[in-house]
Amino acid sequence: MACKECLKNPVIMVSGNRFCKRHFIHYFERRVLKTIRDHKLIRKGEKIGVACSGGKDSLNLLHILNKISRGGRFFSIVAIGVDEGIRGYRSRTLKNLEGFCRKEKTPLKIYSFKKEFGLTLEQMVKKTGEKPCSVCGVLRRRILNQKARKLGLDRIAVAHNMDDEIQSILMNQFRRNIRALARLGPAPGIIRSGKLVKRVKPLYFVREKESASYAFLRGFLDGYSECPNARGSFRISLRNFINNVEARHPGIKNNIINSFLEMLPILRQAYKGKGASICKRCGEVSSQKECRACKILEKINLRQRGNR
Amino acid sequence: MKIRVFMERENKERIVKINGKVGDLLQKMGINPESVIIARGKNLVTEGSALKNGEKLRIIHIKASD
Repeated sequence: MACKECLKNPVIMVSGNRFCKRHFIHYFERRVLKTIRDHKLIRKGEKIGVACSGGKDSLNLLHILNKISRGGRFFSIVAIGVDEGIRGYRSRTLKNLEGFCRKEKTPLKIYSFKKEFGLTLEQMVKKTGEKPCSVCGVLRRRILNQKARKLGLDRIAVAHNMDDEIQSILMNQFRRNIRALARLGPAPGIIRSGKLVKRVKPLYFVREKESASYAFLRGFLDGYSECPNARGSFRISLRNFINNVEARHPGIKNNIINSFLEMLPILRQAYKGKGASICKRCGEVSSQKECRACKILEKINLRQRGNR
Repeated sequence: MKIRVFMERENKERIVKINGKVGDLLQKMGINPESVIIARGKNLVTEGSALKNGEKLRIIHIKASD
């Protein structure tokens, strides 16, 4: 069977359609553009921060946004990297990112946990006993939001793909955290505040396999590795489970996303503005009196003081 | 038919005796097609692609990143 658009050999099958290399690249980029247009993720003249790890998804996103922005004429871009201090992993992906940004002529800002909070992620995990992914996620979001505000950015584009979103949907359901579900979607968030820079997910409708295929065919895939902390995490267990079901029943990923998007307006209405508060310590927006970032940082300081 | 399969994650090559398609190869090796991409040289192939005797395929496990 040949590509649905021409007679060349297919490189991937997407929702029952086969695509050759050229037509898949075209399809993938159009899909991202359609997501941006349909969900009004980016507007003309805006300044967009692209959260980048240096992995396949963020490089794909950066490349496509650069293409769409037409050299900054439509909107401007700055890549933002966060160095959590994960030994043997992050330094490699950030080096990859630096080279990529040089090639793409995109300005890059890198911030580190060590410089911002005084400790690396590994040191924090040792001191708090918390799971690395919980600490990392909370503090990365904190840095991204604060720096985006400082840089005067209108939006932060994150490279979450369809598989990432499905995992988040199921994780929140399995943990009975329905309020967190209302915060998901291609343009996430239920709280409107000048303190929160709006996050957008242009890769929302592309599967992880499509993203990896695009990165391979574009030559972005070489030498990237997986975060060592991801092994054995709840998210990875769910990822394997969903992939097994998708292999036996093709189409379930699309169905999960589309049924979730049908429910999302109802969830948002139910939780609109509920639980929006200001953290008494740092003044950032939080769903509780004290935000998660401050709770983590307080734990570290208390232990540090206790150790002295 | 003999297929040389290079497993990128393990950095190892295996010889697999099989007739049929790439999907049959993955099934024989117990690999979920949703979690990998399969490269033939600089291009990718689908599970429906016919295997060629003596060819070398590269199986790349998709890893999580953001």
